[in-house]
Amino acid sequence: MLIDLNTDLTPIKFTADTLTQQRLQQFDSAVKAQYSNLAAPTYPTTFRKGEFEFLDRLRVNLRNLLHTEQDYEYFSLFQLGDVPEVETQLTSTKERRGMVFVSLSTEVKVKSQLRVRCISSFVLREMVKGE
Amino acid sequence: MKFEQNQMLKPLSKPPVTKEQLQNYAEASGDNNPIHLDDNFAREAGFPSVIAHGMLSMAFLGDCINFNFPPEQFELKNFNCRFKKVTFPGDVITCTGKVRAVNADGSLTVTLWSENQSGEHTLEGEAVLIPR
Repeated sequence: MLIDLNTDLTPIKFTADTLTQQRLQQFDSAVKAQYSNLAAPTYPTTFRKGEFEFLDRLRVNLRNLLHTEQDYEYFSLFQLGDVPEVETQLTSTKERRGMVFVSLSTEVKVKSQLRVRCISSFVLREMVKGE
Repeated sequence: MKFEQNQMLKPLSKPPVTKEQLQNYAEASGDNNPIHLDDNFAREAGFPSVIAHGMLSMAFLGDCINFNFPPEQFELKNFNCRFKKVTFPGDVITCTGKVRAVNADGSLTVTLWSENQSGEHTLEGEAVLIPR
């Protein structure tokens, strides 16, 4: 079984840590960013806690998981001091040729103002050792 | 700064990916999937060693966007990518792209890709930017 949809599928909400210069710098340092602005374009990946929790709920074996696509739609800029409110939901699952395609959508808001919408797409396939 | 259709972007080469970088990225991003951190786990998943986070590679492309389109001059509206090939420690990634369209509203649609030292595309994507 690649995925268990007989589980709690309600959206996952959480409040992320306050955006600080230190957090932004830690991220920039890890990616060795040379041309960073306040928050790097992929900084919202730090709000994927809900995605990982969803994959856990769905009983996904991480060995079978491949991240296939990522999409960001930006609405307003992050600012220092922001306290992001994050909501992640399962948007689609499709089974095809023995693989399962999963899509999760995450919205990040600050004081109810949408900052960014993130869509992460994955494929689950039975891994054959040595493949 | 003025861009034209089919104009190539300035390429940006990143330092070789290291296991230490994967560890640092896991801590900074919260993505602790052992496939990026534990060689034994990665081998059980069919890879010869740990693989880089796809989102680390996408971050390289993001740096290339900022390099070519400074944030004080351009507002990034959309950024997407497809992960085409895994990146391993030791790989040297170069990011580049070209202006696919200069749209009627002045925005730019940009095709982006990153490639490894063998010239294989590891990511392909697109971004939309609006001049400020």
